[in-house]
Amino acid sequence: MGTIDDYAATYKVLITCVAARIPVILWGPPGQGKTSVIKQIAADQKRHLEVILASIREPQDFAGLPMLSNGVASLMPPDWAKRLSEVENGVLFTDEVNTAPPSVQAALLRVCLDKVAGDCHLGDDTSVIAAANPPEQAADGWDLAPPLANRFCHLNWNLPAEVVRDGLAGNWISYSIQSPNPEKLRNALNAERAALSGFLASRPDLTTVLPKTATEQGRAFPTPRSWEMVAILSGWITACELDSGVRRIAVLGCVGPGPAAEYITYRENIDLPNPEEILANPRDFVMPNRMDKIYVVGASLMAAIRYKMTLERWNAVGIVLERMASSGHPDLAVTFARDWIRERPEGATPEKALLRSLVPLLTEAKMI
Amino acid sequence: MLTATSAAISEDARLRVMAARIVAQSRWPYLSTLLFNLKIIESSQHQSLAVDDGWRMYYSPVFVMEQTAEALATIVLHEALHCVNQHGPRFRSLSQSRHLHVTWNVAGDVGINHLLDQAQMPWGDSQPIRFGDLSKFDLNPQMSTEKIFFTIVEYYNEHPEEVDQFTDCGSIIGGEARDYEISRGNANNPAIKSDQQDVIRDQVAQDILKYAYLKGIGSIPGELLRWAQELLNPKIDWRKALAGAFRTSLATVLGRRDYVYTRPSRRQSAMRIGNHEIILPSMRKPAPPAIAIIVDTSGSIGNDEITLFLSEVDGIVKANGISQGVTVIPCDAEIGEIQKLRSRGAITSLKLTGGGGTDMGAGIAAAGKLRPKPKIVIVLTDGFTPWPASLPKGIETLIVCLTIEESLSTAPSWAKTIMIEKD
Repeated sequence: MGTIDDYAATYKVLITCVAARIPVILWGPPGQGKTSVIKQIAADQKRHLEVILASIREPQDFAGLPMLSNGVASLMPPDWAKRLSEVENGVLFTDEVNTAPPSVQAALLRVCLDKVAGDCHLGDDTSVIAAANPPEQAADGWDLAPPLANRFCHLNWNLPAEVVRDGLAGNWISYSIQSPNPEKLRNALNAERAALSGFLASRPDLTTVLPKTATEQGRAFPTPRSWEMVAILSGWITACELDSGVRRIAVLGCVGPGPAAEYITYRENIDLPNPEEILANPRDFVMPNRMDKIYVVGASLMAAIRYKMTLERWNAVGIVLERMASSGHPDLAVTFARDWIRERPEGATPEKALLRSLVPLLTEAKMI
Repeated sequence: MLTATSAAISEDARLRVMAARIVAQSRWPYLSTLLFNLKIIESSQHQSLAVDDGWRMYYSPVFVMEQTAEALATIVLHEALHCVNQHGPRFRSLSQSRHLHVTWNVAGDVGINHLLDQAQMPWGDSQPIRFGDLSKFDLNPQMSTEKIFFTIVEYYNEHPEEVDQFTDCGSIIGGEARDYEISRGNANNPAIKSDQQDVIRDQVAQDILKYAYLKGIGSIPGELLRWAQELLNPKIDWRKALAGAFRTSLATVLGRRDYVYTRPSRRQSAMRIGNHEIILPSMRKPAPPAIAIIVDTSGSIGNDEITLFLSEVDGIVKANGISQGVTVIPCDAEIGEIQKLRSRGAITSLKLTGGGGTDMGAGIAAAGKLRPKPKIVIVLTDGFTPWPASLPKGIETLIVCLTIEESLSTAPSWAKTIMIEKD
């Protein structure tokens, strides 16, 4: 399903990948305007672009042409590599990578990873973009080999009907991002690395997950390398002030949907206060402005008192529940109050004020 | 100006909607994140309950006071399922004329109500639209919302005089913003942007999988569980996966055109320039390899499934230019009669009987003794079998097709593994 929002977010992830020098691969049927979008992005960022079609190339076009000269073999770089090495901040776009034979794909690996073609170094400032037709759409397509797949951020590229409609009327939509302030970018990258290491410390099993089936191995899956890509892209997205949809697609493209959803949820709730701190000073706690966040806080408080139940901690939760109810969220308070009352320690009685604020709703819901 | 009585009704109505939401939350706790993101807004311009595309839920105070909290909770879940199912974006992506959103709404509603009925949710006095009410369109619950929609649209095109009046669930299901909806940027109740909605949906899907893990799969409506699995762990069509794995095997094993430096190129002699010589690779395209299929006949895989699988493999093999057919080895604890499959029509006449005990190793060993030796061996099994430590000499790729997901991790790591989903 391609909506215009998804398209805009994907487009912005692509720009971010090019700017952040993260190799990116676009999956989509032919004729989706991939090349023109990339030309536009290269022009916006004032960068030299080389477009090559991998499917009609031979391995030596990427690995260099072996040449014997006075008994020494050297690898002659192709012309496009020469040009890219001569400019700064070049962009290399390789189309139809998965319809290229495996030996060509293997040669491409070194170009994407080391940015080296033959004996010619393209420079670390070069961005690599690839495009591929999904194997089910290309009659002679191959799945990408896992090591190659894992080096890319994977984006699904589909033109929504609205974009085509406006485009045919002469107005092809394009997006751009502000280039980030270097100071801000550095801070964002550091913050992102800290968040990511916190996440991986709590979910070490997600550090490396090699998919079990052949086709999934040709797409995004988590490894330390792809998590590193997540840190860089997500840091850039923060520094460029892009919205959460862009982040979601970027993270999904690096590590796949399951791990991406978990990391984003973790990241969303990372700024929520520690339940132990709330229990220590329940009256100072600042209520989050979103109901789903208050819900997360409530759930974490219930988990904390279940872990260690004392009268004092139980009363502290009562204070928070009362504040929830009086700040316009009696329904959230009720959700937790039922378990809270049921699990009360010996000799505990809920405050009258709290009960009074909850009883109407509990009666209404026929829960008492 | 509100009069004293209408203010009291207003207060009661809000309480009832909140109560309904708590009841809904206690029924399906895994929807909590979504339910608590719905902002509740009173609106007397709408007759019942509606949600807009920014997830703000409008209620008519008169309507909600006529419902019990239990029945209203079911309606709240109905609206929440519109959010889960992304009915708005899906309608937009169909690029249909906007006034058809009413028909789209019905198509979404019957599916959701069917799910709620299966979960035995109480409806009180209200009569939700069900498949039974739409019998003239010849629909069934297995159809997708899109399929139901186009079936109804087609029927109306043929019977324009029969167009029915249906209710509207608000712009959550697509179409223009309704008259009663507040602006997206409303200061007190801003719309939830679509990207944030995606994040919330991802979280709901995770909560569903966690709940299923803790309480067992039966604790969640199957449709919701499938939705969550599909969102977080999308399945790939096994036919495409098998064709892809097969092609890769052909290419990397043997038998397909590729470049090699191990033999000089035909044009090498023309490549000398002075003292320099450029070395060109040559192409190689050896004879297509022989292929063997080992079929687990120990009983757990049905005959229809085997037939479907063999015809798929036969098609893939032929599409890749291999015309000499494949060898089929039936195998339980021991191998059965080795047969050659030359055409798709011959599949049903294969003798594939077996039972008792499973050892795919026996089949793989037998494949290693065939002449010509197969380069690619495909195994169809439920996975409850021992595997050899390595392949017999000469066999270069093993593709394991599993019919049971739990056995995914037992397949050897050096094989290409594919999950066969039942359709």
